[in-house]
Amino acid sequence: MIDFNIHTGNAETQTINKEDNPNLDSTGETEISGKGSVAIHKSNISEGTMGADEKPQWRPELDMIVEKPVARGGLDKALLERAESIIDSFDSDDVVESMINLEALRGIVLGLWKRARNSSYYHQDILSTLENALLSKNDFTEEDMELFHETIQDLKNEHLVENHVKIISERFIYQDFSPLAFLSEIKDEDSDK
Amino acid sequence: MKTATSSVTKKSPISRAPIKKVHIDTSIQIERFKAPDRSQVAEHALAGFRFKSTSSYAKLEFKRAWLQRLLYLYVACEKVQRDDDLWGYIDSHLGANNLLKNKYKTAVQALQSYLHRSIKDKESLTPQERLIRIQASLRRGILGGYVLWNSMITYEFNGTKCFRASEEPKRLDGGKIDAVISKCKRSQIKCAVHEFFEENKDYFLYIKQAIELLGEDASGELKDCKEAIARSEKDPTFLCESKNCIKLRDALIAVDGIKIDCFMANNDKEWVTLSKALGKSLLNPLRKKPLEGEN
Repeated sequence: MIDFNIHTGNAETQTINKEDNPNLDSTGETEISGKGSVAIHKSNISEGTMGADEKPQWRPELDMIVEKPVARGGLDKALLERAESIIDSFDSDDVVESMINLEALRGIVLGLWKRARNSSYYHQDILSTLENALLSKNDFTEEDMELFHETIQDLKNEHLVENHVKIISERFIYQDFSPLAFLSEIKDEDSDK
Repeated sequence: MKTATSSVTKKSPISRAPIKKVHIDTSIQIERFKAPDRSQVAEHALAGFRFKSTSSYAKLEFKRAWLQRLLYLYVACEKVQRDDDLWGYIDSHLGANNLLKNKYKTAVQALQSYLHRSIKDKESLTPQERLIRIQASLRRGILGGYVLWNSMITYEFNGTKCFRASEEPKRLDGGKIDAVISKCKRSQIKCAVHEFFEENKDYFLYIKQAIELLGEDASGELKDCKEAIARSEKDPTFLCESKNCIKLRDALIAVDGIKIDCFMANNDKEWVTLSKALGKSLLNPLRKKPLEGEN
């Protein structure tokens, strides 16, 4: 029996097994809809975490949807590492340092687009969400930086699924980063009908 | 990560003022996306309201007037080889057709705005890479549009139970996006617009009377609205055809927010009449000149 540990994003771990959950595909990757949920990966598979007679701890309200992993590769790892390092050393107390860090981050994100063609749509979407946020303003909160850090963590994954994009982009929206911010240069008043 | 202290932007504390409510039309919601000289005026006006509602029908209008047009631009990116070719593509496919004038304008404005805002990258990225970058931005805007919309309001009235408004843009395989707005037919009713009309018939009749008083001064949209109300009086299922309910669009949005005393919209031609007919105050923070008789 193979068991899959599901990390719900709320510091709790659930365990289900493949026999009881036909939605898990052969890659061991699937998607759980619902707040705070992320995809299951093979790296999270562990064996023998349950007794033979135990029923899996599966919550039926978590509606599982099969999603195949994206075969395309990820983004430039070295640039992502550098971005992470800059984000981790961000000091918003120092205006000059903040500006220098932000300048570098914007440049790195621009550089990441060079390999984005070979990455998945999910990678591109998350990269675009991050770039959009970095262009939105010049002063960022600690919460913003934490979100950027998590975004880079996501981008470092070779395999992403729709739920990664959904969760991260919703978090950006609720931290006041609009996915339609690229419209914010529109000045004309008569274009809506 | 170093901790940020004094210069960290803090969100303002929750106001203890009595809850003021406002019902927002699509026109204001869209202004909130635009350049700061427009969006900030709208946000400033809205800041005094802790309850901001809109109608599901306004969301449908947003999908039609913006998300679908952005999708057109997105598809155009697939049709060209280089980002520079996008202008020519839009010009040749939309520019010459007068019926598509507004769609053309939106597409051009969106592209101009994107290019103006993005990091200038003529040297570092190839035209193909730039195209992928534009597409990803558009994709996020379209797919995130509904979540964004919902985050901008506190409540969405859905008296019509509009099926079409509930159709959220979805990602399909191969980078495709489904942002289609279904057609509704009287033979296959999917919403409750006819019941909504019946339940709120008096309000629609007030609107019809107000439009009649305007006579020839009524806008084309209001005239269509009056005709549609007259037809619906005899048979409310007239509205169950999508080509008919659209004639009532602003009226549907207004009546959906009938419990709210203040409306906010940026198209005076329709909303001054609608607000008066329903006994509501109207705020238009983007109005350039005061209305006749207004201080």
